[in-house]
Amino acid sequence: MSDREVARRVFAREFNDSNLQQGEYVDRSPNFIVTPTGVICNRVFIIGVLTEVENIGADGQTMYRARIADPTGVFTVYAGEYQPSAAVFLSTVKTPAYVAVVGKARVFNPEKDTYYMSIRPEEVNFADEYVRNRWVYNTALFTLQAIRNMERAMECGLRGAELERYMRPFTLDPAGIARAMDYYQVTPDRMDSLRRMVVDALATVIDAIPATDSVPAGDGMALAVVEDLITRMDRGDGVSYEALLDAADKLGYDEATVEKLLNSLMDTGRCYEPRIGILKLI
Amino acid sequence: MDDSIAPIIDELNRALGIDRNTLERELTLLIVDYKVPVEEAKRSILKKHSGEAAGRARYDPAGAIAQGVEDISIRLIKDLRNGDTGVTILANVIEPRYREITTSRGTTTVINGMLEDSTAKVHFTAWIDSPLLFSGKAVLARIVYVNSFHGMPSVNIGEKSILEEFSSDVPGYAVRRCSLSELSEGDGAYDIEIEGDVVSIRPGSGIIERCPICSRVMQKGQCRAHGRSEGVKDLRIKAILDDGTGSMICVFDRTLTKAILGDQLEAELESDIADNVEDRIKAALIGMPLTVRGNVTRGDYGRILIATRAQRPRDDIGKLARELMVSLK
Repeated sequence: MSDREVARRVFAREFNDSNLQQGEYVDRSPNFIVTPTGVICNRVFIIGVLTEVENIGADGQTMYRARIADPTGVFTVYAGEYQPSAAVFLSTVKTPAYVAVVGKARVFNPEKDTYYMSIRPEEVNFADEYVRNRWVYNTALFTLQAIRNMERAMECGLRGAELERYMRPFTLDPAGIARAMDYYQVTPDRMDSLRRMVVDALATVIDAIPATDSVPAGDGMALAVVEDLITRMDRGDGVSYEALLDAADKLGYDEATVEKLLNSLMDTGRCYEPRIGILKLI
Repeated sequence: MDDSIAPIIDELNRALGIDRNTLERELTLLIVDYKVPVEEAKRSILKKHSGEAAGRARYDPAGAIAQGVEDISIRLIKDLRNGDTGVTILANVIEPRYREITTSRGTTTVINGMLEDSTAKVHFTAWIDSPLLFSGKAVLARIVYVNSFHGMPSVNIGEKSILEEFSSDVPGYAVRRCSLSELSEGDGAYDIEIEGDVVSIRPGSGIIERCPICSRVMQKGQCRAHGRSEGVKDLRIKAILDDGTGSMICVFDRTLTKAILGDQLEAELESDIADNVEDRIKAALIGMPLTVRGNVTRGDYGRILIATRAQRPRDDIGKLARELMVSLK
């Protein structure tokens, strides 16, 4: 049994600045990209804000392009007919929304010196603010460690196989560091600017409120279901509360639950009551 | 004397403490006279004398300590690997009890229990009787060996092992937080904690049927050992957790499934209302961070974390981020 590729955590800016590929171009063999700090990614795990979904499929083909923002930049995610569940998710989701994506890093290299980085999703799901903040913090920790490793590599003055051997005790990516060192012409300035990027990213979460228990596990799903119901039932002048209850009941949500979900939709400003007993999404 | 024999005499003398004349006589007989291969000669002499050597040492524990205390290197329990032999550990004995077990050579009484130091807990079996294991004090156990038991390393105290009472206390084990890269290299671990994000849900999650006889999961009403029968419904989740350094399959039983899915979804799954069960579990869990405690077992299908506890982490990210920024200034 071959080992599963670890899902790496990288910020969008560093990810998009990567254009070094590693590995042979043989069918089915995993493709890797090497980031400027030497992180070797095949699978990545990101959480950000979905800001835009476009249907770019020509001639009725399924192909969605989604933009997912983190504090440093934007990830591009493409989902086509071979990622059916991700495509369905992206075609129905309302922006903006916190989403989590597990996927494979892809490089598109249409002409010399032009590279477009993207992610081909394996899993896409709703996330929440707390989980996003946590991802920013964890990704900051990983990136800082990678920067420190790169600085250690610069200090030792070794290159190539010697550098790789030297770095082995410190990192899971000794080969990535050795390749990135030569390819990206790594300088202390570049590492400083990456460190500033991490600090700026951290600054966006320092006021994060601690997680609360108000949204128990699993409710993100229920919220999405109710929101989706309202969207589909609304013919222009809102949805009656009774009709919504009926529809929700068929999906196994009782009145108390629907009430709770509606309250939380209203509290977060995603839904309102234009007239008593009539609901509309914003 | 044959040149090839001298180094072997040295080696065996060090290992067994048998006097050199005896060794030279026996080695010469085997290697020079009978032309036995060197390795085989060594092995047979080791075998012949090692019982004696260990026996002698056991009757004279003070002497054994005086002789070798400097060169005994005590291994941490977390570093034990299947197949290790001649290991020395220093550990507290937890819940020792006699058990009758059946082996290929008939039934025998052993002592079972757990050993702990500050780094890990491990199951042990003592094939010899020793009051030291019941004294409630820490023991210094020498010449023990390690094999795999239920997919986790297990310490064996055998005929050749030497047990000594250790005068002061050994700090106990408190659940250790491990990275998944560490666990995906080891031979399994008892009662550890990890934190990771759910990146995939494996098939076989949700409502499953178990064989009423052996509790194996049944496929299409068939148990692979007991054939067709009326299965017992159960609920479980197999999720892949990834912490950015490694990944592992975690199995959550019915109670934990309830805890991480929430009562509502769990009740729906139980009552068969929900269709597309897998999608709903995915929608509830993919991307979710979890702190999981449990045992890592290593078996035919790789390493699996059997969860005993699971919860969503609740760290104050704002505070952590501020502290990290201050440390960077």
